[in-house]
Amino acid sequence: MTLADLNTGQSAKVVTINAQDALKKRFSSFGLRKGALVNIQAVSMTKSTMEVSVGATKLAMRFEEAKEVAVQMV
Amino acid sequence: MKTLNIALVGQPNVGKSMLLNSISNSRLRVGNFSGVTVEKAEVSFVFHGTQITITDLPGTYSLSDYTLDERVTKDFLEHESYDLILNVVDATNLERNLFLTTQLLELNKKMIIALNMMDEAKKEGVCIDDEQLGIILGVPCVKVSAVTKRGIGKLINRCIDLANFNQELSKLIYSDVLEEELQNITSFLSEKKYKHELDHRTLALKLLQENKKTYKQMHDTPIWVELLPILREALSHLYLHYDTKNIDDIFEDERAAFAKGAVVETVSYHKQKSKDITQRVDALLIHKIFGIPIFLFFMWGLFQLTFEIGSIPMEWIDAFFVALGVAAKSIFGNGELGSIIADGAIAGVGAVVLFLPNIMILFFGIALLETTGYMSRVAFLLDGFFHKFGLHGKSFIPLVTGFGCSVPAYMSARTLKNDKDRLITLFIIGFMSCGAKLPVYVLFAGAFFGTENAGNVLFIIYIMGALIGLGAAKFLKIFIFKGKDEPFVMEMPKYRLPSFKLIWHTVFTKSLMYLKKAGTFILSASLLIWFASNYPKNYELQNAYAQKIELTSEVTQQAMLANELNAALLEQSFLGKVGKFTQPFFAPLGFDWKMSVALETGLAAKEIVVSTLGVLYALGAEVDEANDSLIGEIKKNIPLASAVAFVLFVMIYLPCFAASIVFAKESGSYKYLLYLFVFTTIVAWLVAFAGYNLAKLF
Ligand SMILES: Nc1nc2c(ncn2[C@@H]2O[C@H](COP(=O)(O)OP(=O)(O)OP(=O)(O)O)[C@@H](O)[C@H]2O)c(=O)[nH]1
Ligand SMILES: [Mg+2]
Repeated sequence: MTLADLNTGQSAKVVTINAQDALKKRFSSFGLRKGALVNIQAVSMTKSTMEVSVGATKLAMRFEEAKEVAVQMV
Repeated sequence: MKTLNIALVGQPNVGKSMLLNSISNSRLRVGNFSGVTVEKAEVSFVFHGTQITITDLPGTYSLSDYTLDERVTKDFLEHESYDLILNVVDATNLERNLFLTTQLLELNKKMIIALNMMDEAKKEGVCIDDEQLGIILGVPCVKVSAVTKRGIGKLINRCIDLANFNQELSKLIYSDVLEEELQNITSFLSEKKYKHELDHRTLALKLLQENKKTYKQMHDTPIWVELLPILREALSHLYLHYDTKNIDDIFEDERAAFAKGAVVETVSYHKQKSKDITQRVDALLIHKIFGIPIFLFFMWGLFQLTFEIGSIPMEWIDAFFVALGVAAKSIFGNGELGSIIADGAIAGVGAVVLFLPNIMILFFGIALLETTGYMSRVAFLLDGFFHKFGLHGKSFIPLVTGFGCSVPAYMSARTLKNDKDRLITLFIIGFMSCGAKLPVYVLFAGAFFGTENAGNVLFIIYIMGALIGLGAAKFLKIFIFKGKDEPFVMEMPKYRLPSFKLIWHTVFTKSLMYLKKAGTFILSASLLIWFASNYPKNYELQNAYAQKIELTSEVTQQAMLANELNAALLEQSFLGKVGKFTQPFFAPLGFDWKMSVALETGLAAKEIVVSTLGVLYALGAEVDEANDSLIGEIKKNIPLASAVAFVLFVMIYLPCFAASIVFAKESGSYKYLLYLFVFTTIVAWLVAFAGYNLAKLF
């Protein structure tokens, strides 16, 4: 299951990040890495972009990127 | 005098620029989104006998991956000389901020940490033990707030102390496993008494991190043979322990663990975390269905205000300049001197100053967008839409900046990582009408539409420009800058209620710049235009008309002849000749030669479009109506269809000279500037042509 499968309001824990190196590093500098707790804040109408909170940070990302983050429900 | 050079480093949007403004009373740009500062800026001041220079750098999330603006920071840290690093961190988001801190600690520089946003932290119930944190990190930590200015004095004092005393640089302590391997290598280097500019621990660290430069340096030294097996073993231990062969990942984990540990030991939450206001506001502003309509409504409202409120002082300013012109003529006479002052300087500058109220309202709107945190929300809302046009959601930020001025907009495109995305964005920034184009729109909208509709017309003009820009982006993406889509990941800052001071500061700085430009650049340009439209003199023509005028006794006949003379003189001036020469190009769009010239002089700066019209229509004004306003002249002399075409042309064609230079620099080549010129001129001409013919139907 990936971040892209969650609904607004749901929380989950990051299991692995399968993105290529550059994106993975970017995620990591935002605090989005293995073990982090995430919560879906909002999803755009066309289901193209979502807002995710990680710790005290809120991130906007596309669904394509979210698909590369494997998560586990908590 | 003693000098102290400080590098201001931190993650984006933590308040570096604002802190520096508070420290030194400077006027650096501040905004509530990531990537406000994209170029380093130095500020110098004297404090208790020390000459302190602080360099504000673009924010960077980490030192290991970078966009162009982050690159500025990395380069500065690695290659420039400075005495200490002032690391600004957001106290309300400590863990993520400390991740960068751990990287900065490895630079082997003196460092001090400013825990900024303490006012906000207090409100959120976040308590930080700064002493303890200082001990863990081995660098002093000072609590400050750039907004309330608390702790600022203490911070500077600590900086000076730190610079004056030599103490051992702090070391980041890693996990036991990693420390053990480091120790092995370090002691081997020490035993061999290996000489290097770096100390042994740092060297060992670089070796473990597979630093290319270090490897290259040591590879050809005799010690390498013995070092290699030790290194290999150390790495294989690490690989085994961390279950990965990616050394970057290992260090990243280490840093994250360190940051987490530091936060656990020093941060406590005092009250129950208050309800997340940002989340509640977001529920409305980025609502699935209402989000975009709300944004459009805000924009529409802004243009209504721009016109409705702006046109009140505009009438006074207009009356003032008209009176000034009349006064100048009565003081200096109707001759050359009176004309250059009234028709050149006053008409030209007046035409630009006239629009200051509108510009201020527009800047006010942009300042609100920039400082509240709404900017990133709109980028979020529009990303899906932008994506269809081959644009990156983050492009929204430079594009919006473009509504103010193209120069900072071009620079802010640096925050886009992918070169093709960046180029596409650079190419279409001009389609977002900059503040200097607003006067043209207001002038024409005001002349042809009543006050009730002018605001709507403005709104439509801006939206249309943006839509044509999106179309252009799609075209560029399909045919020219083809490429894969760059991932879109962007931080959404908290909503912040900007202080009146911050907004005023932003609007005031920009307005002042506008007025300064009017008083200097526009003034000289207006004088130049006056000369070019008054010379060469043609005495034959003047004499011929003088005789004709003498011969008739009828007053109306005389006035008509005088008007004819004016027009004929203007047409054979330098500017008139240029206008006449290029008019064929613009003729299909319905422009007379005056409009053509205004477009050409507008290449220098868009404000000059209106000042040229101001001068030309003041000179060409019919003698009996010398004190008519510019709006009146436009209404009288230009048909609606030509006006529509003119506005469309201005909307799209090449931005001003200064912006063009910055464009060339940011795109990396003058070749691109040439493309931009050709591209925008063709698009502008075609759109204006279509607009002209459509408008003629009505
Ligand atoms: N409440 C509060 N807000 C602050 C403080 N310092 C800065 N801000 C706000 O934080 C936002 C970011 O400030 P900037 O100074 O532009 O941040 P920066 O670190 O220079 O950002 P970049 O240039 O993008 O790297 C602005 O909206 C400021 O008003 C503070 O001490 N308290
Ligand atoms: Mg800044």
